[in-house]
Amino acid sequence: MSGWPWGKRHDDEELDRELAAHLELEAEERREAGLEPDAARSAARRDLGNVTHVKESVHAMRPLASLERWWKDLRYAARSLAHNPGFAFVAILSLALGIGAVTAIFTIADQALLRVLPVKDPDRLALLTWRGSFIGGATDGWAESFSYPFFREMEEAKPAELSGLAARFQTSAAVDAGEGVERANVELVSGEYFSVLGVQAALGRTLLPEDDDEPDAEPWAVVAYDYWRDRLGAEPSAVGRTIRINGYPMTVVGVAPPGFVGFERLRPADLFVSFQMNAAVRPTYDHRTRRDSIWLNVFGRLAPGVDPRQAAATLAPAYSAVLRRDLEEHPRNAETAEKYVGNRLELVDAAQGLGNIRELVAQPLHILLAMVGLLLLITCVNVATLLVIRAAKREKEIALRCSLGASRWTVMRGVLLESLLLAAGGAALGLVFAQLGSTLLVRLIPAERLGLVFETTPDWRALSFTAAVALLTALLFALAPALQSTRAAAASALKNEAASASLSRAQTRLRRGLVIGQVALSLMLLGVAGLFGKSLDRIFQTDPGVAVNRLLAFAIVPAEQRYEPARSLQLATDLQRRLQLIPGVTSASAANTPMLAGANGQNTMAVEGYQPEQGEDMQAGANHVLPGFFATLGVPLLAGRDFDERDAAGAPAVIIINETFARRFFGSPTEAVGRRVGSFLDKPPLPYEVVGVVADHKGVDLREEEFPRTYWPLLQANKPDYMGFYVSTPGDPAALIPAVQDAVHEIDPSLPVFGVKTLRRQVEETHFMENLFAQLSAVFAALATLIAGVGLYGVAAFSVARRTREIGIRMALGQPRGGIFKLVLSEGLLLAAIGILVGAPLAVGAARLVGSQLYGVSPVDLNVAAAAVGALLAVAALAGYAPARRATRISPSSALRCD
Amino acid sequence: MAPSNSQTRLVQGTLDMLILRTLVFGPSHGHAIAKHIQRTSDDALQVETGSLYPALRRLEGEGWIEARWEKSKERNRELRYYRLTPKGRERLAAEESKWKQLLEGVARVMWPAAEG
Repeated sequence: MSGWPWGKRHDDEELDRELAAHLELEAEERREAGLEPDAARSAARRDLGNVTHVKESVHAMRPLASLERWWKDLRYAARSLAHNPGFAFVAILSLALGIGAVTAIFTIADQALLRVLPVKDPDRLALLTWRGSFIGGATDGWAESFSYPFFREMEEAKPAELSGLAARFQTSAAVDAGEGVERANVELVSGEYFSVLGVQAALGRTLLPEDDDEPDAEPWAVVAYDYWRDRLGAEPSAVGRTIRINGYPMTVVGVAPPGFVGFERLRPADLFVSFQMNAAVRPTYDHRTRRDSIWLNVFGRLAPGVDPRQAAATLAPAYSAVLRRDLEEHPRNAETAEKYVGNRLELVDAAQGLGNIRELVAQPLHILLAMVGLLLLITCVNVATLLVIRAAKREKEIALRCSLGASRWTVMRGVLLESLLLAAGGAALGLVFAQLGSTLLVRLIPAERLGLVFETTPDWRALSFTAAVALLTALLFALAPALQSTRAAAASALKNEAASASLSRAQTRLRRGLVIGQVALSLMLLGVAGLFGKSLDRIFQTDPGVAVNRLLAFAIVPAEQRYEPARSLQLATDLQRRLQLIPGVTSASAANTPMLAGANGQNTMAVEGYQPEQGEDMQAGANHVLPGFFATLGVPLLAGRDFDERDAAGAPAVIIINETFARRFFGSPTEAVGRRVGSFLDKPPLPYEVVGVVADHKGVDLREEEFPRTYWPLLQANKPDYMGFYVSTPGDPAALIPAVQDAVHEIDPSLPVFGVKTLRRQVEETHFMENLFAQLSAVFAALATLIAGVGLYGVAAFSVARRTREIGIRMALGQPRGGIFKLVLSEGLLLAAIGILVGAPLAVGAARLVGSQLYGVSPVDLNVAAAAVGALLAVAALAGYAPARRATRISPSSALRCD
Repeated sequence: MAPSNSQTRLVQGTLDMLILRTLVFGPSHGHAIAKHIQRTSDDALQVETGSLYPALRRLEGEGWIEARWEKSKERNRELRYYRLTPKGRERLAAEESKWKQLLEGVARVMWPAAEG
């Protein structure tokens, strides 16, 4: 049997020859039986039947015949698209925009929300969490962190339901891998960390239980694959090399496998070090003995056949033993103690690793996914509109094909194939857009601040997602036109005037319905985009109470460079003096919690003469600052004095509070000065004297509410670590960057400086999410509106073409051209208006869904609504303009002659 | 020619067997095969060209028959001659015994007395 499609011609010729011979033999036979030659020939032909039919049946025998038919139809579809390049271009472009946007967002969302850890059987990993109260503070609730003693005691208990238990904590440190000091992410891990995850070293070995034996004497580091590649030259000899973490020498014992970046996938670890080296990695925080400090994440691997609930139940006795030991060390009154012992353990799925980043970005990403989903839906509806118009234009062609014997299915298959071709073209171009889009998107995310790392190239998951989306969209947008075309086929088969008339009415309804749908969906996106835009505006119009525009920020952590506390503070004072000598600098100061960076230090307070009610929130923001901090930031002092150099170690303990704190507990700023406050755990109580009150200002971000705040002298801090410096200037703060870096290096050339940026830039990064939403939703809404405009234009243009005759008659009867113009234009505007009415409730619903992301704007904002409606009407008018002009140029005489 | 209502439409697959059986007597061409089946069945079986040629192509595809253009001795023209392959012979035997069983079964149900 011959191949396909090249052997076909030969086959055909052979069959022709054979059938011809058959005909001859039959005719001969009849002649022999006594018939006239002519009569014999025609009888034979009659007997042979329809030669084409015979050939078709033979062709149908061929193994790939049906494929061949599809191939033929596909070529036909491609040809017919090529005959209409304008239509194909608009359809493919709008599909590509829709598919591209969805794929770009999916590429990011997939990494943030959907992917599991690249470890053995991730589904069997379970993260320990607790519910109840916390012994180290007043908070009740739920958390996924535990104390170090908890982990060690649970590890000791060795529950059989878990085939292993491991702990980890992610931090950052100053690491020198031979090319100077850099900050790197270090994951502190317990001995069984790698074995519980089932991760094998790519080179050398992982950390083992025996690397978790002796406190402060396990200087072994495993490096992540990318770190090995980028910082250690991808050399096998890197195993055995010494690197310095905070100046402490450690030996690289192995390289983790590619793709494994620790327990938090979006905050990749560069190095893995044993908890035993905590003092070296985190010189200022060594809470390994503290039962009242929770900081570890603990996870285990469920034994075969055990479900998380069972495992949690069997861990309960060991957990309550831990809780009782906690109480022995930190006695509480009977009521609190009873409550504390009632704490419960829960095991949650940890296949994706730790999720706090996921929680942070989950809602925004879902909103973005919903928005691009809407955009894709609009493009589908748009392409459906275009296809319906095209089908209507091709009615005659379809009728002809049907009368030539094409079945309804053949006609429908043609439409479906055309749609598939369009979708394939859209998907291919969409992937290019997706790559561009996700690159831009990742650029908008300050990865440095969040420590997030995203791949921007769509991988096989994204590619298969795109393929699925393209296929689905093709089916979605082809459905209405395909059904319509078969109805056309049926009508032409019936040759029934009434049927065609009802069909054309149905088509008109379909076209209008599709356009109305597009307008309604666009209104949703426009409304949401308007709200995000306005919300962003409101945020940046907020007065932070800090001179954001004339401050430069940078940070140092001298403690990581083996500075003792006293030397750290001396360094801070020296640096402050040195910075103030820079020409153009008005003042400089520092704090240990960075300003407007989303960071928050808090403390539960006790106040002189104030008896808090049961459960009253006594939290206040806490920050340690150098003298001159308020002057540098431009925060006015309302009463009392600022800190000065005398407020150092050994001097009386002093505190400055903000206006909200003063008014809430003391009545007024002046009354507050001289009063005493303290942290609720302080013994003896109330050790601090209020020496000053400063004006309220924003500290965490621009969205926060006024909040009681406290400021403590940095020079009285026990363990100074992070120091965020602020340098104020009347000029451009960015111009100070080189001078500031020089100043630090003059004092200590080996001290890493990081986070050098203007405070304005810092604020923008802090509010990147709002910025991202505003920009992306504006882009999506603009695209949606543009696409809806194309749909409106298509329908108006088609309607003018269809009604040429009617318009000609109107003109011949004396209707002025202006009236014709209005007629066409108002039709488009009417469709848009209906779309807006249909879309209004949907838009309000969408706005309520995103309400939690808004600031200073109510979900139903009349200005935003008016702007969105106005934009859509303007687009409708614009889309209707050209067809309306064309209608006025119709010449009555030629219009009446045509058709 | 017999009236059309007495002609039997061939059951799917039967034609294949009849073609194979015809070719047992030696190579033959399409027209002769059709005539042979018609004649041997006393015109009870009509072989349509629309069924014959697709069937021949199918059997050829299965490798049960082979075809070659050969000069016909009595007609002095090139005709496409089909001949049985060893595989085709096996196939015929299998089909035949299947048919026999089927016919016997039908006969036992239809005419139980004849069984004795």
